[in-house]
Amino acid sequence: MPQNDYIEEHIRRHGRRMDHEERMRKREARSSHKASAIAQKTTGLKAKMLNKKRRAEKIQLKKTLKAHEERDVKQASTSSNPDQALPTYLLDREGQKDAKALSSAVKERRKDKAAKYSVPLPQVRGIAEDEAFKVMKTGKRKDKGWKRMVTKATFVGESFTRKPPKLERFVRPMALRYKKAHVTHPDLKATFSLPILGVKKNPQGPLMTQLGVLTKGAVIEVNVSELGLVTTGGKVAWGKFAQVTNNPENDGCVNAVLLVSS
Amino acid sequence: MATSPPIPTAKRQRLNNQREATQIQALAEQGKLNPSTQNVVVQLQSSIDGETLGPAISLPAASTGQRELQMIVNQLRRQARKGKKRKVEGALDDTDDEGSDEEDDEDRPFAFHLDVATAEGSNAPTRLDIASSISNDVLQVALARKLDLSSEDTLRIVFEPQAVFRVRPIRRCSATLSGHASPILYSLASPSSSLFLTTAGDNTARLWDVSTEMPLHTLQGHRNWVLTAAWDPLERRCATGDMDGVIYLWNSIDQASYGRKAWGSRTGEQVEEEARAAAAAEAAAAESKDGSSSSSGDPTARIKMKAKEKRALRHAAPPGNILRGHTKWITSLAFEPAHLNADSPRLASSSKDGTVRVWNTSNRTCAFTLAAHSSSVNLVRWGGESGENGGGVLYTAANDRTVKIWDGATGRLIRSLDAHAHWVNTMALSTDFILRNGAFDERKGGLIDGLSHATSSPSEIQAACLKRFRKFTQSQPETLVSGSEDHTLYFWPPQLKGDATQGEAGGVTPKKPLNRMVGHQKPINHVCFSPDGRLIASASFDGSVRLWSGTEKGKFIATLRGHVSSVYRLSWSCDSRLLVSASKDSTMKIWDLKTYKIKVDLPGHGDEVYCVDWVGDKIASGGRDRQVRIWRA
Repeated sequence: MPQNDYIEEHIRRHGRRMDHEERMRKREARSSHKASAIAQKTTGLKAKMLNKKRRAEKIQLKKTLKAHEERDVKQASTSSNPDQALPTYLLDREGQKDAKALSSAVKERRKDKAAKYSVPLPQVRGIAEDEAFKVMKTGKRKDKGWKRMVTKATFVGESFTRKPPKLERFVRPMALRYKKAHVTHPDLKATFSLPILGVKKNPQGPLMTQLGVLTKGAVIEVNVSELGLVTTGGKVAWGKFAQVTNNPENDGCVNAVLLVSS
Repeated sequence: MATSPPIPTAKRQRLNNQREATQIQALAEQGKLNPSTQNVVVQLQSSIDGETLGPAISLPAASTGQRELQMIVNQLRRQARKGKKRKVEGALDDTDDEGSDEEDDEDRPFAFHLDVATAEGSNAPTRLDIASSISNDVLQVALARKLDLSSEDTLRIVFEPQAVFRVRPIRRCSATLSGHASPILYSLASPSSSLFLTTAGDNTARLWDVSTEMPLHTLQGHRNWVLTAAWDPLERRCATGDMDGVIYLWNSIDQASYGRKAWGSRTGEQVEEEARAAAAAEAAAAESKDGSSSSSGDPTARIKMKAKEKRALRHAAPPGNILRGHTKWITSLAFEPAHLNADSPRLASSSKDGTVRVWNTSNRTCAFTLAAHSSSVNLVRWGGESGENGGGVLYTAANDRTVKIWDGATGRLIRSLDAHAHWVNTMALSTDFILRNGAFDERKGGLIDGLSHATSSPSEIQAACLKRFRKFTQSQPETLVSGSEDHTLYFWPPQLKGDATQGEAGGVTPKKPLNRMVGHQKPINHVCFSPDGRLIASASFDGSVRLWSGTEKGKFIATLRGHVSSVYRLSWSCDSRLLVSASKDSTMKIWDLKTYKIKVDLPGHGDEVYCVDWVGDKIASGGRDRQVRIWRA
C-alpha cells in the first residue's frame, strides 16, 4: 500500500499514459471472462464464498433490470378491466393491491364454510416424555421424583398464578414463557408480532394442550385486532388461529403462520 | 387452556381511564357528586347572532333536558314576538307581517349545547350537547369536572334551531339489489328523492325506484367505466361521465312530471308516435333519393306492431345523447342551479385533462372551456350566488393546489384561492343541499309552493327557487370549504356576497382563508356541509370523521371514531340530524351527533363501500361487491 499519495502526485504532474483510456476499456471488457475463469478454477471454501457472492450480485442485477422494464412498459393502472373499477377519488393512487387481494381472498374463503381448516403442518414429530419434561428431585434427601419441569416453550396467560410449590406437579419456568408470536400471513407474506391469546390444541396430546406447551405444530389463538380485519357481520375480527412453525425452545421466539380458512 | 378475554387496547387509553376514575372517586368522596336537588342558573343564547334570550333563569339540573329547554325557548320567543308586535302596533296602525318569516311564528325544535374551551390541538370535543338532562350531560361529565364547571356559575347554553320534520333513524337493510356486473362507483339521489342513479365499472348506469326498491332502467351507451353523474335540479334530465371523457345526457321520457312517472315507461301512444315519426323519416329519405313524389300513405294510420315489441319499446330506457370534448376521464359534473336557469340548465364538467367545459344541454354543444388549471380538476360546483353578468359562478378544485372561481356567464376567471400545500381533493359549499334539492319540497314531495312541471312556467319555478335560495343565504352566506391531500381543510370567506370579514376585525379579503382546519392524519377524501349549513363533516383516509362548525368559521367540534380503515364518503339526512359515513372496511355508520359516538352500525356489504347517498328517509349504498343496498327505518 502506498505510504503517501506519490502515485496520485505523479499522475497530476505528468498525466496518464496515452492509451490509458483504451486499456481501461479493454480490461473492463475482459473482466467478465476473467471472473468466469476464476470461478471455474477455484475450489473448496473459496469457491463456496465466491459463488455465494456472485449469486447475490446476479439476483440484484435481475431486480434492477426488472424495475427498469416496469418503468418503460406503459401499463395504465386504469385498465379497462371492469372488475378493477375505482371511483374518482381512488384513481391515480397506488392502491395496496396486496391487501386488496388479501381482503377479497379472505372473504371469498370465508364464504366456503364447507372447507375445514387445512393446517400447513399436518404431521409433526412425536415428542417423548423425557424430552419434554425434566425430573425435578425434591424433598429433604432429594429422592422424591414426582415433580416435572417443562423444557419446552409455554404460554400461561395474563392472570396466571402458580399453585403452592408443595402441590404443583408441573413447573413452567418463567424464562420459557412467551406472550407474543411472530405470525406470518400466508397470502400477504408479511409477519406481525401479535399477542398470544391461548393454546388451542397441541398435537402431542391433551396434557400438552392443558399445560400450554408451544411446540412445532401447536395451534394457538392470536389477537389480530391490529390487522383491522372485518367480518361480513360488521364485527372487527380480533382472534384468529395460527400454527407454530418452529421449535421455540431452540430459537427463543415463537414463529407461526396464520390459518386462513381455505 | 381457556382463551382469555381481549387485552385492552392502548396503554395510554387505559391509564387515561384510570386517571379519570380516580378523579371522579376523589370528587365523590368530597361529596360533590350528588346534584339531584341542585339548581343551575342558565342563560340562553342564540347561535345565529349570539343574542341572549330572556334573563338568566334558575332551573333544576336533574330534570331539565332538551324537551324542557325547548319549551322554555319557545315560550320566551313567543313573549318576545308579542312584545315586538305591541311595540309596532303602538307606532303604526296597520302592520303587515312582511318581515317575519314563517319560522318565527311556529314553535320549533331546538338543539342545545354548551361550548367548552379545550386546549389547542387536543382532540376532545369542544361542545357538550344536552339531551337527557343538564346534570347528566353537563355537570357529571368528566370533561366538565376537569374544567371545574360547577353549579354555581351561570351556564351559557346556546340553542340552534333544527328542522321541523324529522328523518326516522335507519335500522335495517330492506333490499339488496344486484344487477351491476362490476363495482359500483357513484350513487346519487334524484332531487325529488324518488329515484336514484348508480354508475358502475361495467359501462352502465342504472336508475332505481326508491319507493318500490326496484330497478327502473339500465342506461347503456358508455364504452368505459362510468365514473360520475349529476341530476338536473328539476329532474328532467341526468348526465353521466365516463373514463374516456365522454358525457351522456339522458332526458326523462315525460318532461311534464318528475320521479317514476317521468322516467318510468312510455305510454302506448308515445311508442306509436315514435314509430310513425321513424317511418315518416324513412319515407322522406327514400323520396329525396328517388326524386319522385310517391304518396307515403295516411300519416295517422296505426303502425302494426306485435304486443311483445310494443311492450319492449314501452319499457325501453331513455336514449342518451353524447357530449364529446374532454380528452381524459371526467372527474365531476354539475348542473346550473334552478334559480339561475330553470328552462335549460347548462352542465359543467371537469376532467383530468385540466379543463372544465360548460355545455349547452339543449343544443348539446360546448358553450365555453375554462382552462387555467395546470393539472387535473377534481371537482366543479356551480354556486348559487350570481356573478356580475347575471350567470352563476363556478368553483373548481384542482391538483395544482388551487381553488378557482369563474364567472358562469362569460367564463372569465374571477379569483384564484391558493393556500393548500397539496392536491385539493374535495370541496363543499354551504348551499350544496339547497342547490341540489331546492326545487322540491322534502316533506310533501313535488315542487315547492305547489308548482308543477306540467302547469307552471319555467319563470315561475325559477322565481320560487330563487326565493328559497335567498331565504337560506340570508342567515348564512354561501361559504366554501376545501379539503386537501395535505391533511387540512380551509374555510374560505363568502366570495361574492355577504360579509367577507364574518365578524373578524378588518383586513380580511375573500382571497385569504378564514380558518385552517387541522387535525386529520391522512389525506381528506370528502367534505360535506349539513343541509342547514351549520355543521361540516370531513372524512379522511385515517378512518376518522371530524365535525366542524359551519357558522363559526370552521371551529372544531368533535372527532367521530369507529371505522377501522379509510372513510370514503359522507352523506347528511335532509333534517341535518343524521350523518352516515361509508368506509373501506365495508361498513357504514350513522353517528349520534350528541354523544359523538356510533348510533347505528350498518354492516352487510361484502366489500368496500364506495358510495352512499341519502334518498328521502332511506339510504342507498353501493360498493365493490356490486350490490346496491337500500336501508330504512
